[in-house]
Amino acid sequence: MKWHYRLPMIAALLLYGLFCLTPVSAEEKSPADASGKLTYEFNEIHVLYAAEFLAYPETAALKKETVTDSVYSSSEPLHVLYGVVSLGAGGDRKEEFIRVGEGSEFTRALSVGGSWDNYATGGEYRVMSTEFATGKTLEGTSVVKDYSAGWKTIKLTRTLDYAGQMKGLALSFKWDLAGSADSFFAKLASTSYTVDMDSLKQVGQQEVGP
Amino acid sequence: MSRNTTKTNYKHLWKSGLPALLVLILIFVLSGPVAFGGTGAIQHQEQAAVLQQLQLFQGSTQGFDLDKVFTRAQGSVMLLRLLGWEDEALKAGVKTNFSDVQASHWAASSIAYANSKGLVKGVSGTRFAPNETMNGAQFITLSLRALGYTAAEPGKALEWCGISGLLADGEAAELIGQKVFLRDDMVAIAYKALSTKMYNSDKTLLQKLVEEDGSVSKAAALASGLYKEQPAAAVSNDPMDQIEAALRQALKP
Repeated sequence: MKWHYRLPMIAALLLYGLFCLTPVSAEEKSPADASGKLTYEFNEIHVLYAAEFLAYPETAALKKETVTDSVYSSSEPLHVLYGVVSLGAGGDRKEEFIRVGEGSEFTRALSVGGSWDNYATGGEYRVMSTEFATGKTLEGTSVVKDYSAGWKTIKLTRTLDYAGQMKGLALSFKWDLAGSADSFFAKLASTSYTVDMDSLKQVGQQEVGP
Repeated sequence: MSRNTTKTNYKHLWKSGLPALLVLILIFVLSGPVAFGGTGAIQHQEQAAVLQQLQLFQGSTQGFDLDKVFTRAQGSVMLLRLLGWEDEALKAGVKTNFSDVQASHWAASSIAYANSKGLVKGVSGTRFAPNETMNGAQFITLSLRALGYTAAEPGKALEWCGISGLLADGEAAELIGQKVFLRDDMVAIAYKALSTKMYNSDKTLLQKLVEEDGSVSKAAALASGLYKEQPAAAVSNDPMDQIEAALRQALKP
């Protein structure tokens, strides 16, 4: 075989070999599509930790002139549902979920990142922060990341002692204002909230850190 | 006037049908329309029995004592029951700071817990006045708070009733205007509250107590006739719904 015939064949074999040797990650089973969505598989839900609590707007002390103001203006608490679940029969895929609701309005999100501080207050407490993005959600058997409606995030910070007892919770919201109008999230992002620790109900054990 | 003339007049009156008229008046008075409250008569014995069946109301060894006045201590306890928090209050072991509520007071833990949650206040910084009577506006307000209307205040109880649907205007006005608020009147309001929808929710208070708080048994609720079991909701295919449902299920008492 002449060289000008061999070269394309060798190149093709090398490309095929490279393709076969590359490890296929879960996300690459369903690579990003044109809209940037990424998917990967799961099938079962196991609750590792669940908590619910109320968070009051710090402006709740604003005087309400009428009963109607009091009912329909928002000084009502946010109802927050937070949990850590493992997805899939093997339980190897962990997700943190949050739902924040007020009246009939609510938003839900999955975690996109977190941080630890094992040395808070002189090492007495461990502080964990988790950032959730509303653009990360589940559809069918896939996790979908679609931030075309803007980068709307919820930050949940937990302060635990070394025995794993929850000592404090803080909640904040951010939105880059991209995407279409969302009056509920706009209100969340423009309001500071204080968590009522007395309202906390929880089951399971929150991880105390790595 | 002679004795004979008087006898003649009585006979005349007898024959004219006066006794029949008196009997008719008596029947009319006794069988008149039953007011919602405020007549001083006991009217809500059956409702009291239903509340007892739901373990939301207890009487004494003398029965329900519906003809007795309703006190501030009793109001604190009823509020916690309507909120489904009575057990939590007992477990919490919060101590009261009120000088007139001794630790041995039968409602001490409820008063302390409700006060710690900002649900009830003292009559001063140091006194709660547990045995003073509660009025209609005050108990309506506590019931509204159990329904999720946390900003409700006694001064505007009538307006809050209109917005929440707890009581019709006439009923509310009658109870608010009463000079003496009885346990019978409290029963009437608490019974109505059970079938009233919670703030911003499709669920009634009783549905919440059964399905979310677990403080009222489903069997008792069904037997009361105030609760109907909802057909099982179709399982959502949305995995976000499924995670939410799994977390709520895990948190159920």
